[in-house]
Amino acid sequence: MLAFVLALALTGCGHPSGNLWEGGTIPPTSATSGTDLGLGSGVRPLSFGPGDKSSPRISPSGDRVAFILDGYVVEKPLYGQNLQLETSTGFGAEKAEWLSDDSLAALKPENEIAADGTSVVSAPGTLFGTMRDGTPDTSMLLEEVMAVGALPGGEAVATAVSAEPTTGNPDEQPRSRLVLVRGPEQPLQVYLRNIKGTVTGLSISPDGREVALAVQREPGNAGEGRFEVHSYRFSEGHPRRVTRLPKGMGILGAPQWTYWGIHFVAGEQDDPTSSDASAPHSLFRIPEGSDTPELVRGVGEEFITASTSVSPDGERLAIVGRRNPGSPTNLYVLDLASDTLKAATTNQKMEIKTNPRDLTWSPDGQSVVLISRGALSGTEVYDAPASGLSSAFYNLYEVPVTNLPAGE
Amino acid sequence: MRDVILWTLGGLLAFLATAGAFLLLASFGDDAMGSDPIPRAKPSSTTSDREPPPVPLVLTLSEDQLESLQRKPGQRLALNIENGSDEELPSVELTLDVVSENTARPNKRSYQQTLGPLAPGETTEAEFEIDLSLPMPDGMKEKASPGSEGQTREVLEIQAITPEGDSAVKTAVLAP
Repeated sequence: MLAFVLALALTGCGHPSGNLWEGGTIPPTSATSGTDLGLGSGVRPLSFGPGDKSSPRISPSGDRVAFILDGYVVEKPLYGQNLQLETSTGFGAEKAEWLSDDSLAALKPENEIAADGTSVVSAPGTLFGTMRDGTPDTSMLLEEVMAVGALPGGEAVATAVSAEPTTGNPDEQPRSRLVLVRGPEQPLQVYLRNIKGTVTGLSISPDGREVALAVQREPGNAGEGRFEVHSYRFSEGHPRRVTRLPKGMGILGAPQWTYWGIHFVAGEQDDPTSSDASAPHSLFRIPEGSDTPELVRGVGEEFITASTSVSPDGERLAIVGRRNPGSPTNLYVLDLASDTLKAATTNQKMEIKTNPRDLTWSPDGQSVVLISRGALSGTEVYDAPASGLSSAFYNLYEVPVTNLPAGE
Repeated sequence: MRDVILWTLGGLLAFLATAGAFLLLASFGDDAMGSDPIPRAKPSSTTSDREPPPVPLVLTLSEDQLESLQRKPGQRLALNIENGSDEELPSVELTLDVVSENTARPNKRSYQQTLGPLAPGETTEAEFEIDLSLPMPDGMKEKASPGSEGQTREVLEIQAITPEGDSAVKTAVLAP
């Protein structure tokens, strides 16, 4: 007996390198993080193969990633390639967020044909919950959802829903309401105080106590279709208008609550009813206690901002944008305390998705995940099967964002 | 009592000696294998002492020909297969899959051919007649998935494999 105990103490309880095999899959040959795949060294592909990917979200535990693949929801180990289908393939999801029980909330927009008959606009959608039984079945959680954001740790998903009109007056201003969704079998938490206008984007503060909202007022009513930034503290249960933008200015994506004030991307809009990303947009900050937005100078005078996402500690902002109109799109990280901008990618030949939903932080704040593919230049031939290719198609890339070099 | 203590100490010493010998052997193993569970591939070198081993199968596609393909049935695609080995290949199985980039509607079309035998160094041509028509009726473009940007592309994956299991693969992503 003594010998057995001593043997365990001396040799350990298993093979010295046994854990290296556990739970992992051997990635395709281009999965190494040391090689430059077109975004700079250290950038690592997390997915491979054909399919249009969007809305990446890392699980609160940090070991899995979910994303939208051609309109359906999949998830997989962060570095493994064993995809698990979470919805049916024809689902039509636009965004997915993790919930605390490791299920996912998927937003499916209801597309409407615009008045010109050709374009498709997004109307309020429906939020579905996925099952944890390995099937692509879903259950309906909430209807009339206009915007979604996840609380830290997957505690809940905050949604802005279209509130029922209170009068029969057709000129009544649209109103929105906040609802917290915790899971398929959990009760909804409804915040009864309405928000005047239509919520076009929302994000949660890193401490999970407050929501930053982009709200558009209805044209022809008070506010004349102008965009506003609101904050909504859960404990207070009512919205507070932080600022109203000048007429013709639109907010792109969701304002980001940081410990250095609310930050948002805005620019001139030709069509006030749509958030068009093609026009140059700039990054603005509303300092705490102020109602006046100011340009964030730290990014540079000519910087064109496409999307932003606040870090889990609320101290940094991931920004996809361009230094000036002639420079390539890259991922940058803005340190909010020092107002210094550092490049996290060195893109020369990749096309980085600029939709605000296509940017996310890892829960530990060590990396940012974005979606990218090689710039299209006609027909391309590769010496590998399609399922092992990364830059040929839109795929997820993990970009380390700590210890970034100063300057470009 | 003294005998018991002596026997215990003796047993303990014998055990420690055996365990130490095993640990020494294990450390020799670590030196040989390194810490990687998967043996690393040797980096290619331009000044190696030995000639690199011949590639058994070489698959060649003409990019000009790929560029000229149209989204219609009856498109002809020729490709070259070379036996790069020192031995005759009795046969080569060719598989060509045409799929859409959209994984929700892959619309896979598969084509197969068997070639051979191929003498060492011999190159032969294979021609496929493939259907590259879009699955939608004329005049209707395939609707992109929500959130997708742009039109989906067609992907051609060609694999050649010998009875011995040697293979070559090419993937062509056609311009939209």
